Amino acid sequence: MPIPLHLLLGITLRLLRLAVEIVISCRGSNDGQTFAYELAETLRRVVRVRPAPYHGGVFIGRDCHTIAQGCDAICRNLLGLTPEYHHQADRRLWLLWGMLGRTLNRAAEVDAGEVRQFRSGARSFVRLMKRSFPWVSVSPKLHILLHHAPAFLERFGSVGLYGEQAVESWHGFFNQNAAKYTAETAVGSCANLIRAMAVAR
Amino acid sequence: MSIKAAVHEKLDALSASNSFVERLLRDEHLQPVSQTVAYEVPPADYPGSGAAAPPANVMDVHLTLGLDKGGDTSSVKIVMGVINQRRPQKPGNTILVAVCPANKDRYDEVAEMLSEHLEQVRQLVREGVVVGGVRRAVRLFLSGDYEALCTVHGHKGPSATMPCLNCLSTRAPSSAHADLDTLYGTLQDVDRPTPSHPRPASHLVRMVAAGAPGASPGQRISDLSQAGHRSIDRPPLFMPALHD
Repeated sequence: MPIPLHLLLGITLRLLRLAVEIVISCRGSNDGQTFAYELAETLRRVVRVRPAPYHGGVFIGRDCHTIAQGCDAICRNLLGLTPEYHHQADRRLWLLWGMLGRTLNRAAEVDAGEVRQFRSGARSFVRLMKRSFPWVSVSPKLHILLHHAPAFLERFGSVGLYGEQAVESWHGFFNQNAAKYTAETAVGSCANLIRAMAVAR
Repeated sequence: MSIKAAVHEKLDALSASNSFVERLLRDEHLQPVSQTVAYEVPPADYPGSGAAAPPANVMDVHLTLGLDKGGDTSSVKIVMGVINQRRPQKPGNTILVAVCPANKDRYDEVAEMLSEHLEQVRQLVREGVVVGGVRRAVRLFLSGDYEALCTVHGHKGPSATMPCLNCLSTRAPSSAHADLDTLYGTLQDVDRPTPSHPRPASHLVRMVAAGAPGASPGQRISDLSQAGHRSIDRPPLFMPALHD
């Protein structure tokens, strides 16, 4: 039961929140709030991503990859606010997450070397997070990343191929084309979409 | 719409255009296992889901049943995916099964939406499909967000005592469930090599019986302890391939 897209969305958000938590734990909640605003500005101006209102106010999958690639800018914000070992641990987490996210969401078969690398990377990621920041609670998503996603990848050779991207894409399709399927009621509109898609197939 | 007919139609088209892509399982050395054995339909009295987890060397087709709530005008969508093709995640390569306006993946609404389709999905899994004249097993994967998957499993959700849909690990050490923590381990223990207690399919079967109107007193879901219901508080709507 792989949920690669929701792992990507959920864990990226967890890492962003972790940066704020680190500042709060070192300097208190006022500095934490200021840092949170700075982080949002960095994401908007430097990394050039913004939460999508149609996506529940969180980042879309592609932006999550962009955020991991732009982790230098995010981690730079921590300099001077937290001890160096916290900064280093956070940076290492982002680098590991960038690698894991790519393997997790690629809709293609993955070679054996990358499969092994994924398992060891997932283990390093979750253990580093838990050991460096003991207040972090391992959520079901982190647990899936640590144990069940590597097992699935080893058995089926891909997680992204079996993911939930398709059903998410249908949400987008319905949003963009809603005007074509209007009806007196929402149920009627849904029925029009189903009918049109069945005919198109 | 008929899921069965749509899947057969899709597979016929893939086969006719030589676009059918084999998806081989891997062995413990991560090497692909050749599929050499045709699938045989189990006898009618065979218990459980039968073909949901056939051996790796049985020829198969990989299908996903995705369920998710989303969109500007919020609706739950059910999508069937055929993985044995190039770009299986492209919406045009999937089968849109159902769309229903809804604000939450609510159990009762999802149960109603799925009810008319699940029997066909069970038939697909049991009977397999014929591709290029050879009968293949159907390996079905559920997908969607965690909330939707919990709904399908009748599970209490990610905050439950046993929050994982794959194994019986508990959420965090607690005095109330110390015995379960010891037995199954907790999510917080990141040093253990791998969870040793996967959720067995037989438990889901038991929970379907426990949720049935005729369940005997003491055996109903509401009568069961945490160790008995394992954070499943509604009858599972569908039983995917789990370990047993």
